[in-house]
Amino acid sequence: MAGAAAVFPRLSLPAHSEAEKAAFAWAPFSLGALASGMGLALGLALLPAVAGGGRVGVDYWWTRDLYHLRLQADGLSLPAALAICALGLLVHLHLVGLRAAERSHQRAALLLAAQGSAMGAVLAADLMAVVFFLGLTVLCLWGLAATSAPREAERLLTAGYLGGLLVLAGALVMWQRADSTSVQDLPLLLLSAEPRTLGLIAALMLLGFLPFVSGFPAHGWLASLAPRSHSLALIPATLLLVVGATLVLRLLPGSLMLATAPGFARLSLVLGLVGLWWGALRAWFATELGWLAVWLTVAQAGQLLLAVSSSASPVASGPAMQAAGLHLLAAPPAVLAVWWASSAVAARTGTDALAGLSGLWRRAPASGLALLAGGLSLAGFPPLVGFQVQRLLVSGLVDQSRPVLAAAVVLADVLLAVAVVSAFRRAFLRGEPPPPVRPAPVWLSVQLAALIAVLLALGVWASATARWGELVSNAITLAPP
Amino acid sequence: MTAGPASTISAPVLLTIIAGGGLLVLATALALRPRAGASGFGWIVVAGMGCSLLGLASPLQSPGGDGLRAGLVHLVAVLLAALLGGLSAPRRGAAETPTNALGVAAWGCAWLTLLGFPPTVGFPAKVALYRALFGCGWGGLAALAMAASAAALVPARWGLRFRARALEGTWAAVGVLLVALILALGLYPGPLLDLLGGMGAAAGPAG
Repeated sequence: MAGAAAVFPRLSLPAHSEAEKAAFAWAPFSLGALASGMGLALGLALLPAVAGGGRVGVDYWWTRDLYHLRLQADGLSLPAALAICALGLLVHLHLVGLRAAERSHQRAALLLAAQGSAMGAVLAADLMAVVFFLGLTVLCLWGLAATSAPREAERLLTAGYLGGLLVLAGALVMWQRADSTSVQDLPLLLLSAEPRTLGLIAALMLLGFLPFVSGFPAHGWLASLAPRSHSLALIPATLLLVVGATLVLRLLPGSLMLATAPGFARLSLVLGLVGLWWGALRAWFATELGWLAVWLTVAQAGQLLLAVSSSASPVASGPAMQAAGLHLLAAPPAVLAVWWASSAVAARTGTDALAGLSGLWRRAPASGLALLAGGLSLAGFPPLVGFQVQRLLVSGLVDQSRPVLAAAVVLADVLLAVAVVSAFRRAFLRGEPPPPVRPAPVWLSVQLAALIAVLLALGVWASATARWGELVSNAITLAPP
Repeated sequence: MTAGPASTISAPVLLTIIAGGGLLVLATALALRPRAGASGFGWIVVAGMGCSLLGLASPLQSPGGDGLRAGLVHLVAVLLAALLGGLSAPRRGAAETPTNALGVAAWGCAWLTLLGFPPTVGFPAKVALYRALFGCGWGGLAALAMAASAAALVPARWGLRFRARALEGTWAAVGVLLVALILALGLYPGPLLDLLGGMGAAAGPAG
């Protein structure tokens, strides 16, 4: 604790107990922040080479003829890797400044390992390597959750393993057809495959990647990860989201081309609608802030699948494709803001149950604003960045003459917004006496304010946001070499 | 993919498939019994051997394929997991078995190897096996092996809840060595694949 105070004077929250004080370890989380920062710097250095449509690849013959580790930074994988590093940097600094839970050394190591594995999954240019890194990511997150929520951790392991098996099955069918599992060669090699085979591969890949989009259907483990503060859920919630979204976007025309397979658009449409509406309706009935964050995450996964569904055609409208690409930028910080607000409230009051919270606005305004900003961004409200995604998604659906679907998306967004505002009103504005609230360090307020500013700035500065969306969608639509 | 599979299945191939597939299905079914408890690990080891047998049958059908090497790699992975699991498996009927971190790690590593999770040697073993079965035109058997892997999650979830036996002294050193070997071969399986590929080539085209 003394070490933390020396590095971050007046920034550390008091630890909750003597045991936690003894277990507090700032060093491993600082190491995580350093590694994330280095990854961010390296990624930014590669950005000019990739922004013009280039690719930076590293080949490492791993197992000779069986599969090998081939990493590639392009317009899709590099932004995803940058997002993982940036989110990791934020969260590691948060964990240094806030407090560490028990077993912090192991958890810090597992968080960093999960981050590294997720980077490997988004940068991998060989489907077998994708399966390898996905499995490793699930294993790290299972280890992270196993000590505090063993049953939920088992569900995560099951969903991740089954997802990995489905992706592996799809990759093997591809290999049988094309004699390669490299994402660069596959689109051309698969052109000669029968539509039925392509449809089978696409369905296997989409269903396999689904568990990694917000951990669905094992998403509930996030709310149980660290019941007293949810601080350890921050990285996993965003990691899975970035990894799942990147891999699903890889299926679009121009990348793996699998989205053009028969049945793909319909399957992703059904999954997207179910995810969006299920998440929106369950968010209405959420009685804890952590669970509200869970259902918002499920709903945004549904939005992603809807955007992918409307981009599935090779002649998909530009807005639909941009919405799918921009989702990668907009959703993670919004999800992070909601989890962060939930974590901060639980850490300061000892609970995130809405029944036990009231009148927090005066004591924790930054947490309230972060909850509102993140939740309303996910619901697509202006001037937040999520609005740009919803605008593009809805205009893409209207362009494709699908007004009913556009209306269903808008209605679900309204439901989400009402759920967020209702939770905010109950926890922050209700007139009953507030629960005892521990003092917050300036550090926490600065972090929350910075996150809100990011969500607002990306929404207001629409031209830069659109350029990012174009970068990602160009990378997806570029014909393979 | 280097050589096309034969269009008809000979009697020895059929017998090997029946033996391997039967062992796989039967052992998985026995592991899935609610009363199997920690013995589920043993049944999944037997099921893994059935999988290896399927891989070893494929070169009889498609001599130019990769089946012999895949079957041998899978067998090595299963045997390593069995050794590690045998060291750390919970004692039958002992509710309060003394345990330690190394025992828990060894027990977890053994299960993860059997399931084929990276970065254990089980991952390249499963990939090689499924690929050999697909390459031989036995997509149905590959699907059966994958389904058995998925089913193995159930006893794995039960098994991981048991208290692993503590590893101390010499057994601790053996456990550390086995875990290191399983992880090293999982991260860099090239030498193992080369070695077993060479053995397969020396054994002749019919294996």
